[in-house]
This record gives sequence, C-alpha cells and structure tokens, in this order.
Amino acid sequence: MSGYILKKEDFGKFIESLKEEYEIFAPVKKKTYFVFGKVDSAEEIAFEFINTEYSPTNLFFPKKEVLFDYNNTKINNKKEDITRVIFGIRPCDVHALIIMDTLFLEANFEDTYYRKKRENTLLISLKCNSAGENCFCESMGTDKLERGYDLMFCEQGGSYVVDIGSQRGQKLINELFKSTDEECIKELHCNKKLDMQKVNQLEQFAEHEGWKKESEACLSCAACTITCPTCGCFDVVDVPNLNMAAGKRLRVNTSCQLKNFSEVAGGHVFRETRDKRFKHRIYHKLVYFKKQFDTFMCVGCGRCITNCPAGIDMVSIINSLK
Amino acid sequence: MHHELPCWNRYGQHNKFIKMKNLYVPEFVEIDKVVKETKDIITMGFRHPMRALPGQFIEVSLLGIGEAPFGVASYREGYIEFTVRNVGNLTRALQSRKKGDKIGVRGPFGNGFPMTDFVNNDLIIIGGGTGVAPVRSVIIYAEKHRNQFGEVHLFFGFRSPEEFLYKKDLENWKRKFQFNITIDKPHRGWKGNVGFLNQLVEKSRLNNTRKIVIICGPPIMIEVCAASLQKLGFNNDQIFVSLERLMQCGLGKCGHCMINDKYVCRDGPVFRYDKTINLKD
Ligand code: SF4
Ligand code: SF4
Repeated sequence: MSGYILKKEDFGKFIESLKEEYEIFAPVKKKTYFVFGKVDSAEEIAFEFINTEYSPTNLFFPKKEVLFDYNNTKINNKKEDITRVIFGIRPCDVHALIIMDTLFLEANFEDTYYRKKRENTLLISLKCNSAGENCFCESMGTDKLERGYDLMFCEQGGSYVVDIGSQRGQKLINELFKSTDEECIKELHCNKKLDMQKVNQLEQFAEHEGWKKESEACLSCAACTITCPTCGCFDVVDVPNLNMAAGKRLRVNTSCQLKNFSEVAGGHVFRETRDKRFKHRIYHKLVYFKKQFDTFMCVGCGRCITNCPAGIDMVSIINSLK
Repeated sequence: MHHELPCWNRYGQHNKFIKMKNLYVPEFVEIDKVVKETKDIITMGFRHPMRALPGQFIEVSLLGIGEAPFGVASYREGYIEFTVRNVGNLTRALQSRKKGDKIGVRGPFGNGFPMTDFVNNDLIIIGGGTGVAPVRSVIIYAEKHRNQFGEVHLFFGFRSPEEFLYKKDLENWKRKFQFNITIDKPHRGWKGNVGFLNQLVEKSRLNNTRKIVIICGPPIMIEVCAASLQKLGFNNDQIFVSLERLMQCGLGKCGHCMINDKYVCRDGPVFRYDKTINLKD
C-alpha cells in the first residue's frame, strides 16, 4: 500500500481528530516505567519507551472483567459500545493479539467479550527504534509485522512515515497526512537470541532434571504470567451484593504458576511441585500451543525476564539445555 | 450477536444446532427432581432440549456462589441428570435446592464416549465412587442400544454399602448384565466382595477379544485397573477413561483443565487410555 507522512508537529492535531470518535489508549509514563493508559491529548503520550511494563493485550482480555450482572435469574450482559484506538502498540504485541485470536476466536468456542473488543478497537502500531536488553523477537520472528495493524507509524527525523494496514486504518487518514514514496525501515537486532533448534527439541527435554534445578529460585509469584502479552488464563468468580440476590460474575486473571491453579474439587493439586508449574508455562508457550494452533505462544517481548524478581531467564535456560 | 453453534460432539445423528449468543451465560432450568443417594450425595434432574451424550459434562451455576462441572449421569432425550457430592460451597448449596428451584446450566460440553465406535464389542464398564455417575450414562446408553453390543460387564466399587449410588438402577442392572460390585472394607451384613476394584477385575479372567473397557473414577483407580487389565492381556487402546480436572469455562480458554497440549474440557474429558500415558504434567 502507498505510504503517508505525518509531521511530528501535526501529531497533536491527529490525536485531537481521533478523539471525536474514539477513546485513545497509548503508552504513558509512570515514575520509572511505562503502561498503556487512556489519554486525552498527545502531550500525555510517551515515546521514549522500549516497551510497556504491562502488555496492551490487557485491553482485550483484562485482568478483571464483568461477564454479566445478575439479579436472581435475570442476566444482563449489555456493554456500552466503546470504540477505541490503541496508539503505540509495538509489533510484538500486535503479534500477541494475532496469536490470541487463534485461541479466543476459535470456531465454535468463540469468546464474545474478546471478539467485541477486537472489533471495536483500532491498532496504530509504532515501530521500535531500538531493542531492549531482554527482547528476543528476532528469534521468534515477531520483529516484523505484515498484518494485524490498522496503521503503522515509523519515526523518521521530524516526521512519521505511516503505512496503511486496513480499510479502517485508511479512514483515519485525513488532510494532515501527505502521501509519500518514502520508506521507513528499522533494522533492529536483538542481543538476546533464543536457540530455536533447542525450542523445537523441547519435547525431548520434558523429563529433564534441569527443570527442578532451574525452578528452585522461582517464587511462584506469577509476575511472568501477569506481564506476558499472551497469558490469558482466568478464574470465574461471583461477587454478590449484600442481599445475595444480585451481583456480578467476573473473570479474573490467574496464573498457572500458582499452586491452586490445577486444584480440583476435593483438594487434589495436579501440578503440586514448583518445577511442574515452571515447566508448564514454558512448554505451553513453546510446545503445547504450537501443537494446538500451529504457532508459538511467545512473541519474545522479554517481559517475563525483565519482571522476574528471581532473575529467571527462560532464554538462557532453554539455550543451555543439554 | 447470535451465532449458530453446533453441539460440541462428533456424532452426526445428534448434531442439533443450538443458538447461543454468549457461551459464558448460563440458561436457567427448573429442578425437576432431587434424589438423595447417600448422606452427602444427591442426584438432580432437569429438562433440557439437548440430549447429552454419555461422558459429556455440564457446568452448573448458582449465581452468587459459583459454577462447577458435573458429569452427565443420564442418557435420555430432553432430560439431564447429574450427581453432586457435598465437597465445597457450591455443592453444599446445591444439596439444599429443591424441586422447582432454578439452577443455571451451560453445556453439555466435551466429546463423550465414542459409543458408535464400540458397536459389536463387549463392554466392560468400571466405575468407582462418584465415577459411577458418568458410567451410568454409558450403561443407560447400552441398555437402549442393547443389540449393538455383546456382553456387558459391570464393575462397581464403593467404600461401603452406605455409599452405593443409584440403588434402583443397581438392582435393575444386576438382572440385565454381568454384574460385579465390591466394597473397600468388610462391613457388617455385607456378604459380597470386599477389596479394590482392580482385584475384582483381575478375578474375572476376562480375555481381551472384541472388548472395550470404560473406566471412570479417581486417577489412582484408573491406573490400577488398567494395570490389572494389562495382566489379563488387554491393550491400552481398548480402554477409554474420563479425566478429571477443574473445567471452569468449558471452552478451552481459562486454562485450568490443561494437561500438556490437551484441554480436558474441549479435547476430552474422554481419552483413549494409551493416549493419556504421555499426558503427564
Ligand atoms: S513468555 Fe515472556 S517473552 Fe514470551 S511473550 Fe510472554 S512475557 Fe514475552
Ligand atoms: S516471575 Fe520469576 S519468580 Fe515469579 S513465578 Fe515467574 S519465573 Fe517464578
């Protein structure tokens, strides 16, 4: 598709033009880190981030979500129709959404809540200027993005070169944009590299004694799964009002790293030991999901490494498997 | 958004279409009957437009308390029964519900036993404790399609005679099928078998020709019964089991019932035993 160019000085006006129709979510700075938040003006948007602490995929499968309100046996699951634009989502995180589509939009098992948010949200991706120390998207093949975005911004000097990814994206183009033949290519290289040959052999290492050793430091704190853009496991819980007749049914994010995750009625826990839970996360990402949906469930964003209080790095663990 | 969803099973003849707009929202049904089975186990029945297949499960809700999966214990057009042991908040609350009260249900979910693949075989049906609930649906199926199967051997294990489920059915099946029952420990007045189910299976001296085995019960029971069957010359691919996990959403999303690359709710709960050997956490 033909490209456009937007001058940085017009960026504020562009955001204003979006505001008429959309709620805007973009990276914002919190003390020492960045997260996606709702913004009202371009000034609030941060650009100097590598990636955000929490993933913007939370905007599609939130940490906490009301499935419905109930009053006795009356159920209300009407949601207001909010149309949103996410500005500044990194290519790896768009890949994370493409991956989660295979799960949440699977035929016959479709998740209505996820679909609605996917349909109501436009993605304006922003290419990375440099790779972070824990990024390994290059190994996962998620550094490049060919589809899944509505617009793709790429910073070039005093402007953004803008690529159109969809008809919805095309409609956002207004008089502030000038067409251009210019291309904006960022050649990024990650220092961290995951040995994909090892990944493809992971099944042979299923009974490896290394998992016990490597998981010794793990605190089962779930920071890795909470920040991972493709971790969407949840509990279903009811929150009744005081009168018990009415209330809400929620789904709340949970983690396979917690012991009670695999507990069944009567109290038996299937993944009782830490190494089993530890291995389950890594194998779900790199073995099981691949078998189920023919794609890895990891985009190499490195959040699980950056945020682990025990300094656990799955890349170096896998690379050193022997 | 209304989606036409096929019933989640692989049997053409039952493949009715149901309309659901949101797979997380339960429908409300009226409890039609409550049978007290033992001091802490009841069986509930309700009318439902769909016939659940043997081995499928439903998600039952009491709003404000929660939702949990239950194996379907019946096989009947327009009607579903399930059995509840009092083990937690939801199951305790269910025990106090009466005929005419409303409960929320979703499903039926899961693959169920591939009964049509078992045609022309003898059936060996083994159930222990509340594992007898899902096998009840299989036995009723076999009763209704009696001419499709050869001999039907039933093996039941309970802790004690007080723990027997479906007492009326047991009497009926005793007359119709090769019937075996055992209790764990000697009990006053009990003159029948004592000992674990697998010992009973081993004693039967059954051979493996044209036979299909169905086992439901706690994981350890499945394991020892399968080992005993192997001693009798059975192959693991003749054995079908129903696995137990916490299926929360029933849709392969919440992650709780995952074992390796399988979701028990969506790919199971019924698995051929040889395929579960590598399903280790
Ligand atoms: S597993 Fe780690 S690197 Fe992979 S997507 Fe999740 S947080 Fe990112
Ligand atoms: S963040 Fe690190 S310590 Fe916490 S559960 Fe994950 S691997 Fe274990």
